[in-house]
Amino acid sequence: MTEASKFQGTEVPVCVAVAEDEPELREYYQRVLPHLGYQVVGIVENGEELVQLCFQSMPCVIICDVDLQKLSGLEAVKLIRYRHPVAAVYVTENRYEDVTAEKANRAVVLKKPFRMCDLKLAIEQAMEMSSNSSKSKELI
Amino acid sequence: MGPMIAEHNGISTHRSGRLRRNKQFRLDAQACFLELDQETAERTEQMERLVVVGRSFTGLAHESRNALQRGQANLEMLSLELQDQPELLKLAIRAQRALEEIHHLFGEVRDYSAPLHLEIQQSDLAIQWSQVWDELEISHPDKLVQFNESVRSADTLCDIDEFAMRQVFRNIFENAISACPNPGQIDVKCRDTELNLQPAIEISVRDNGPGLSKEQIDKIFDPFFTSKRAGTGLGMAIAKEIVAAPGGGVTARNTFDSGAEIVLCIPRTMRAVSVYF
Repeated sequence: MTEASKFQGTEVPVCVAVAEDEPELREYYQRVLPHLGYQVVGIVENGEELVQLCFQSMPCVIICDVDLQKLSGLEAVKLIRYRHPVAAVYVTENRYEDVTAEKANRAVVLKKPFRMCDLKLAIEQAMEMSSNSSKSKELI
Repeated sequence: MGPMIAEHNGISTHRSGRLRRNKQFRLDAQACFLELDQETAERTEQMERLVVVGRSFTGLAHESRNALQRGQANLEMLSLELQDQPELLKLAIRAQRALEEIHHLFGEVRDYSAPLHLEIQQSDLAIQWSQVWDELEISHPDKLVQFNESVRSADTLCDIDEFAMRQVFRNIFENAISACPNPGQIDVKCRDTELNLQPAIEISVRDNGPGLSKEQIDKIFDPFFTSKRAGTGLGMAIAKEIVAAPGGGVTARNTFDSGAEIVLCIPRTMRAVSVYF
């Protein structure tokens, strides 16, 4: 059983969608996420493509830059969450983005530069946050 | 007449001597002021230059994040490819560590130069330090450090800025981990106390390292003071600024047996503040 699936208590790997505008980092996610036990449903370049991808594939987790072409990462996640609950990790690369992302609801902020272990921890925290949020909604 | 002349002469002589001395004094004073003006101008110019250097360096520290990320990402991908070639893998890991060190140094400069704005909300301190510990445990795979918590306080809820408080714990734990032997031990203790007659919480972080010298105790919170081989010496200064901004305090001392102890005292109730360094 992979680390990621152990977290969910199932053998089905957790599905992840990524939006990143740097080609080198898109390659990185493609290589590293399966190594960490996640299933990559798609890696896109901008916010609009992320929304389309998530409407089709319904991933459990989104990893996206805050600053994306066409639609920002925060706006894209907001739109996706109207359709279905999803855990979100916002990746930031400057102080402005740090501040913007930290104000966002129910998301983990992952600051560049990060390592594989930071990425794994951020995904786990985002999933826990999302699961707690769904539980509290059920209680209401 | 004679004495008068003499007197006159005397006075005259005395006056001319005083005038000469006054003139000399004025010339000396002018020279002195000119020197001071020049010194002040040089100092002002130097200060202005340092401000520009500071701004440029802070900008560089910010702008480098994306480049560092690309370097880190490529080295991690390379490491995955080199799993069956230990000698080459060792080189990739060394390069990764060097990048991490640069990132850490730049990070301290960024944190110290940024204006501190605390967004206070009620939060559990124990959750914050546990989260930081989880992150650091992953970052130091080669060091075995046992982490013990002892919370004597009725609760660890406090009005804090979660993000800033995690930074305080991160900086203190980083120092403690560096000081610990391998294997080492870090104890976090917590109890209720009072600060300026107001309810407060005291958190003590102890390590089992060699302890602090007198100079380290005196200067540990001074910016740019460091006893480590690598480091900017800003980590503990940042921690102090964060804790002090809303009226808290932090001190350093040695424990009775061995090791260093950092004691934080945080008021239970805080108000939001903005502090610009």
